[in-house]
Amino acid sequence: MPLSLNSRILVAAGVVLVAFLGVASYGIDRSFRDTTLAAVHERLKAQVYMLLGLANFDTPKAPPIPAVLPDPLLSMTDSGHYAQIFDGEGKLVWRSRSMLGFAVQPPPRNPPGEFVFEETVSSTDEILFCTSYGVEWETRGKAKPRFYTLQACEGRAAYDLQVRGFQRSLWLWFSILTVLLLLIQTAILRWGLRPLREVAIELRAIESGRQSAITGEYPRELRSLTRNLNALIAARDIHVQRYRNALGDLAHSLKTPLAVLRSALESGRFDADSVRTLTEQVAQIDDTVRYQLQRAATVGRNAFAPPVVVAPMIERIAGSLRKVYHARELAIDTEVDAAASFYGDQGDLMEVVGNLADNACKWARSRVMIRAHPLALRSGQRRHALEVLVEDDGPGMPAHLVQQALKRGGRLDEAAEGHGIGLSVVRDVVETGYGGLLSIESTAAGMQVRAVFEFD
Amino acid sequence: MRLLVIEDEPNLLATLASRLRDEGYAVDAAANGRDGHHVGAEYPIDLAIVDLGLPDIPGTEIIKRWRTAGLAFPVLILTARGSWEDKVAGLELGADDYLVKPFHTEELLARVRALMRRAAGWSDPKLRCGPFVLDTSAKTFSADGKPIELTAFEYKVLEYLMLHAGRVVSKTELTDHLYEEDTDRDSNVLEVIVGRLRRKLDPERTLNPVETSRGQGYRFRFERAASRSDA
Repeated sequence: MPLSLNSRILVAAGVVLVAFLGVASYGIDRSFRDTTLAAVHERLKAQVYMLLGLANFDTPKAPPIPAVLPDPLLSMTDSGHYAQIFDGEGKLVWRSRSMLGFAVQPPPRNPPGEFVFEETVSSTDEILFCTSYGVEWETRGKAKPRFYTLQACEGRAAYDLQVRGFQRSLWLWFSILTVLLLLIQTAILRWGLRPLREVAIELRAIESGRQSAITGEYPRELRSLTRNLNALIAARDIHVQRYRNALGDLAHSLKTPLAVLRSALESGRFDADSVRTLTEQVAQIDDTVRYQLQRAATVGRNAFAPPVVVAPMIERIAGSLRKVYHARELAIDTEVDAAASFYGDQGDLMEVVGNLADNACKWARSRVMIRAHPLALRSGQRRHALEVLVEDDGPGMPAHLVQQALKRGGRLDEAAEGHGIGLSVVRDVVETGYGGLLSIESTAAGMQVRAVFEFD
Repeated sequence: MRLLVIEDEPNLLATLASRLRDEGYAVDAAANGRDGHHVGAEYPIDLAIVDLGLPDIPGTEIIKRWRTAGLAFPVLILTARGSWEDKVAGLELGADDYLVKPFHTEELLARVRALMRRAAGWSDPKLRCGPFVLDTSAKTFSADGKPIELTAFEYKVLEYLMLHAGRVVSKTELTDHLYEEDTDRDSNVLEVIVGRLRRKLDPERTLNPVETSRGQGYRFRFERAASRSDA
């Protein structure tokens, strides 16, 4: 089954969203690191400048930096902020009090007036960012200037902490954003696909016969589809009608000549042998015509037909049969659930009930019962089912004869006209036309024929 | 008994009419709906056989017009389509029975006899009046269980009188129902036939089954026995 439109759009949007957010978070992360690192660099530079401002190398024996520094962090041990000064030979001249108990490699000698930024490891394995600056110190009265390197360092831990904190909040917000965007996307999809769902609902209504055409207002993109569907439904109705009319005409035009042949044969003007052969042939043609025409005229399960209310229709048939079988004083009773509906062609149902009830009347001794009611479905595959039961108190029918009667064109008794053809037609309508089931059962009282129709 | 057959197929009409005449019915044959409707509306027929698929007026329409005009004679419809929708519609319009083409002539005759009996209020094919039994399907007659031979015309007259047993049947009514429209009618023939029937039915002249109501007509004196229907 192809992926639904919903899933297609959601999957595509999801992939795009994830790719976009991934690239964006990488970029933002990178630029945050760069900015933070630049800030570290600037801070260290400022510290170097501060030291430079405080430094005095004029008196060689005295410490070059005053004991009290403006930045208290440099005076606290393990503060993560350090500073030290080396002379031209790489000898340590001064270091901040915060560097108690460990050492940092002297930086390479810098050309005077230049900053060098580097990452280094202290003797206690602390990773440090360091900025060093070379100076050329001229003491008044001395001809040769001396070289010094000032270095300010900062533990990397603070930086790492900052970056991690930023990444955490970045991921948090991006996740919230992703969820939010997906929700909005779903809402847009539902709204955008709503007309399609509405068309589907209308089609189901047409299918179950509650309406005959798609009537809702739809967006431009769907309008040609709904128009064509309506045209299709209308064309189908017309087609079915024309087909049935044509078949009816065909039946009429074949039946009367057959009636002429039969009555001529029965007039006694021909010799017995020819009459027997010809009568057989006429009967066979008649059976074939009837069977095939009935089959072709069976409309079958029709998704577009309005439901037929069963009760009044069965009452009409019972009324007709009471008239026809008046002389036999049969009790022809009906028991039809008012809710029983037939989702198909009324003619098909009349054919089934008419033939079954007529057969029952032919064989019944005193009573015929026609029942119909909607059926509760266990399987739940089809949405509706209708059960029609026709019972008589006649002699019943042995099992092997039931099979024969149900066979195409099978005829049990020439005298009870139309019996066999009736049953096979009924079976065809029920089973081929409606995917249902026809069963015949001999009961203690007589015979019961059960027809179950199933509808979509 | 006088029958009307409306059928547009000339061969079928001819064979049907001749077969029905062989059975002893007076038959008015109409080849189209207009003539058929006219005969049914104007003449005293006992039963009509109507094809539903007529070219000029639909059979159902003819039946509807007759029924609207208050004509109650039984109608048997012939239909080629044989669909239950057509059958039920025809029966609801006032037809009494249907037959699907092509039918067996015997089947048609059986239906005609049944409808005739039903119209006269009989349900059993054997008409029983006193000691007399007329079997309408076997076309035999017996008195006290002993079969009595009747000629075709004697049978026709007796059948009509027995169907309407207990009621006075005028000579005109008898001739109207026993003869077709365009035949010469000689009421003397009727008197001769009735005389012969009296001798055959009642050789000892004790029962007097067929009374003469002076100036009015004949009456079959024995009322119908049990097995009569309520219709």
